[in-house]
Amino acid sequence: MNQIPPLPDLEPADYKSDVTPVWCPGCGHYAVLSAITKALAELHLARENVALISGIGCSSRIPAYTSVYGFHSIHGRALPVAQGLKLARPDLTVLCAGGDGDGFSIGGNHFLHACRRNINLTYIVMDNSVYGMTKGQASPTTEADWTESKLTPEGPGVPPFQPLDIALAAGASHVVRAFSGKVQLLTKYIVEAIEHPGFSFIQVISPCVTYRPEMRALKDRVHDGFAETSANRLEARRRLLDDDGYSLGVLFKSVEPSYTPCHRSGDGVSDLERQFAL
Amino acid sequence: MSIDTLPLFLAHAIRLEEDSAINYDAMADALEVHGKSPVARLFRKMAHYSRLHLAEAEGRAAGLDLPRLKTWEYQWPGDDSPENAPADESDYAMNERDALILALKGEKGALAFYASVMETSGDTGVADLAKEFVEEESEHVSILEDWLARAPETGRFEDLDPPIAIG
Repeated sequence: MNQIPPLPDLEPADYKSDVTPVWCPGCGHYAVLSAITKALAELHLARENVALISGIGCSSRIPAYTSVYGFHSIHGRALPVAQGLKLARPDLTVLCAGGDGDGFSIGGNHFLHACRRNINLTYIVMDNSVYGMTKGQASPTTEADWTESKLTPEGPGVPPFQPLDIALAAGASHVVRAFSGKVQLLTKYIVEAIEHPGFSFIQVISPCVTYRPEMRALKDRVHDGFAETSANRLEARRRLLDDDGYSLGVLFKSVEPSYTPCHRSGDGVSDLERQFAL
Repeated sequence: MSIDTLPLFLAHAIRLEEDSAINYDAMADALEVHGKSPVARLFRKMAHYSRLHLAEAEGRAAGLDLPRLKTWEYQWPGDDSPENAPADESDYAMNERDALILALKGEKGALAFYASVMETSGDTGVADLAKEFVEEESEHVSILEDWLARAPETGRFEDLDPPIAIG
């Protein structure tokens, strides 16, 4: 009988493709790409068993820069694609990635329901509080008084979206905030998120040095405010009352039921076609 | 921080040089994509030097059973691999002088790391090897400082449509 030889250990570089990123020099997303590839190497995952799904935006280019399966979907719709894939192929490790505009504005509704369904996947949002690809407009997480865009010269005027609060309220079972400038920690968080059996959400503060150069100063503002992980959702939400937006760590982690669809045996494409027939 | 065995120290040295080479290459790629080839060449050169040092560290480790550490188990003094030039301080308009300043920060980071091991290790063999690496890194720092002193002040790339339109 032929024996399948064991897979060789892959290095982080093996999870990168030969496509050169077109992100701006200094962009935080490079570090996120590095952390994802390091995490996959730490977990010894075969490339053909991993899928990375994204939406639209600078950060959503990330599947092209990896050698795992990838799908660069449409704006705000990365999570529906990722959830569908995970339900159809539960054996795959599914990662979903994108930016704050894609995830919290265009795809905001999908974010709520992905948290609620708690399907076992990891959602990484590279949050730079700006729409970089379209040249620097205010995004859902932009401060109300940010005045550096021609479109909102007096600032967007609305308070920023609170990703962790919303994720907790909607039912996410693993909620993390990280910083692209701390690659070692980010790698650890991604490994833990992939290992978590449920919907893991990681908000990565990832500075855009081109449209928001002032974000470089964030490396001096982030701190380990969430060093202690809570398994109590209410307590985690209380901790957010004191959050300055720069606390890093695993805020909440709890193993909770996941949505599982009821598959009817025998249902195939031809059955679906029959149901849709007029 | 205390690194008290030769295999553990060399595991750190190897990872430090690997990370540095990857980081310099990524910075070079990013600047090349944005048409800044002279600056990219400088980072590429630094990546080459890191690979030379990597080969040297690997040579020293030949025959030793190095520990396989997870990314977050390395005992770096800061948030990242210490020789990594701070990529977040780069930008699309940087010139060669700016790049030298970043490279110098990277080399000084490596120097500080090795100096710290030299001073704190409880193992004489580790401290002696760290001292050798301190001397090498000091030399790199001196070379970069010399290049920097001779680098012309060319001014930053002039962007006729800068990203920040107001202010």
